[in-house]
Amino acid sequence: MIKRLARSPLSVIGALFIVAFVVMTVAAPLLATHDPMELSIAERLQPPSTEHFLGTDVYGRDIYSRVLYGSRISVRVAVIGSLLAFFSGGLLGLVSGMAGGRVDNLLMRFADVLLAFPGLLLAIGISAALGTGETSIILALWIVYLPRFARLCRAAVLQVKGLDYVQAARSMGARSSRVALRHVGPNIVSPLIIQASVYFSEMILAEAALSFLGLGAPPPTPSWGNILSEGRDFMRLAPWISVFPGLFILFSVLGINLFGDGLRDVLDPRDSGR
Amino acid sequence: MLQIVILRLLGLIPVLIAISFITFLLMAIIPGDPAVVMLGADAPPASLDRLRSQLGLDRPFLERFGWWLWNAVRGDLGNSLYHQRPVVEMIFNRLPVTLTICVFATVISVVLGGAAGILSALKRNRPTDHAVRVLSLVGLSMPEFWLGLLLILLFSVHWQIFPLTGYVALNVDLLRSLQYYVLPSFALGLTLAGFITRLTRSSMLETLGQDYVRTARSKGLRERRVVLGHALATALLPLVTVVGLNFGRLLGGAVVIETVFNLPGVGRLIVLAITQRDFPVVQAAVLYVAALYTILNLLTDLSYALLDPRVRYQ
Repeated sequence: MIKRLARSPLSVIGALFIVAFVVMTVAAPLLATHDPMELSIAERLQPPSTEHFLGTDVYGRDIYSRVLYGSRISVRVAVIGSLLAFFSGGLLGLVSGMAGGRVDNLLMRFADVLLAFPGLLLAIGISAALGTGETSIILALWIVYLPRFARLCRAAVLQVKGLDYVQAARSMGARSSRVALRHVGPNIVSPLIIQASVYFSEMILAEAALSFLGLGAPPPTPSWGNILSEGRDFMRLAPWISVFPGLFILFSVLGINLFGDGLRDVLDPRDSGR
Repeated sequence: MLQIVILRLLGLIPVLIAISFITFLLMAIIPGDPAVVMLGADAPPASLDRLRSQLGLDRPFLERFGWWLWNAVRGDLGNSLYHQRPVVEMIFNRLPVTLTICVFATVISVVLGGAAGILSALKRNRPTDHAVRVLSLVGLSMPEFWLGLLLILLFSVHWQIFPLTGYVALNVDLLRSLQYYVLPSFALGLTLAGFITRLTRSSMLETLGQDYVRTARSKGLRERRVVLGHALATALLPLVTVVGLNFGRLLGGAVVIETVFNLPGVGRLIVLAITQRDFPVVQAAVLYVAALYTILNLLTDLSYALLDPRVRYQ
């Protein structure tokens, strides 16, 4: 699989972006040139220079160091949010699809209600209700993406459930839980993983949007969205404050999307080249 | 068909009640007391208590929700705590702004994304195709609010083609009003265009491989005629669903875009009302947006059934 991924130049570029993004996040304290919280009024609104690679903000804080530390929040939110939604949504979808009948109906109506909100709007409501901060954003995105995973997983289960080998396992007397976990589960993982890469990048964008609206990590903690938002009032004087964090968001999400595309080609060969 | 429409519309009622309940619940647990927001933190406790009781905030949650629902059914969604005006009036003043941005963004994304997708499919695996594929992914990966800020930086600050901030209503001065809509609509539309490009490309490729397209070619028709006369209509069919479903996504994106451009739309209203703890406004605005979203999804489903006779609805 890795060999096939390596043959697609765009997936390789995507993988490189992701590696750079991970290194940046993990090694932020080593790569940062300044303390991201350190105020220096004398150096406020400085353009990019050798001292401050990406310039400084209105409080004289180093944008480069703030962007590095800010990546940590994006990654934490997207990783924890995706994992929670992937496993809980996957489990609910599996139960719903395998059980059918009333259980299925009840779970899917519940999913319908959550899906009736535009995703970002629901996330805004939940994170506002839970109070600003990283945890509430994670919970908000979890609740927004849970029904999406559940739906997808249920649809995949329904497709696989009627296949001969599942029927064979059943007729040999395997219990429902064994059929679900041993026979159905492994065969529906591919579409879920492909979709997880899409949702992961969506979560990075959503986290940035929520922080931009002031619902994310409270200042002075840096996050990509709130650095961008702080620069909004200085677009004329100091455009670098908003431009650079946006570029980091763009390249990290682009990396995930490029890699996700390659992954789709490998895991779902029917679609390859399309 | 009419029976299906009526049944589906009736099915919306429990969904809307559930949406209202969830929004009401979120507003009930949101930190912050509307009475304190209205009177100030140093108001005497007796006044705060009186106001809370006037607003009905001292009653149990379910009772409050029951009353709200009963009034809502009769068309009364209450008054804004902050502006002392009927919520419905505030929403109707702002809904046209949000809908205009979303409609413009949809048109931009379909025209640009559709054209790019078709071009990409026709030039499959050639440099044009690779360039379009990468560009569409860049569009998909860009936060729309950041794109909005970049557009302001280039077109308002640097070249001064479009006004920096402000707003003129469409019915006051159409031309001036449109100037305020161009950048936000592009910011929202370009990110969606990436998605539409990918979809159109893949759908066009699938259609071009069909037997009837080969028949058209073997009849000796020119490529132009094959593409425009035979393949295009089929290839664009999935766009109906995507455009319909993505309108809801646009409604969410509009919340952020209106904040970037300081436009007086419903999205901006919701964000402001949340910070002001103006619960009746949030409650009603979310209900409107969610209702609009669900109705659009329903229309998308139905229009698909009309366009594609193979899709049958039970």
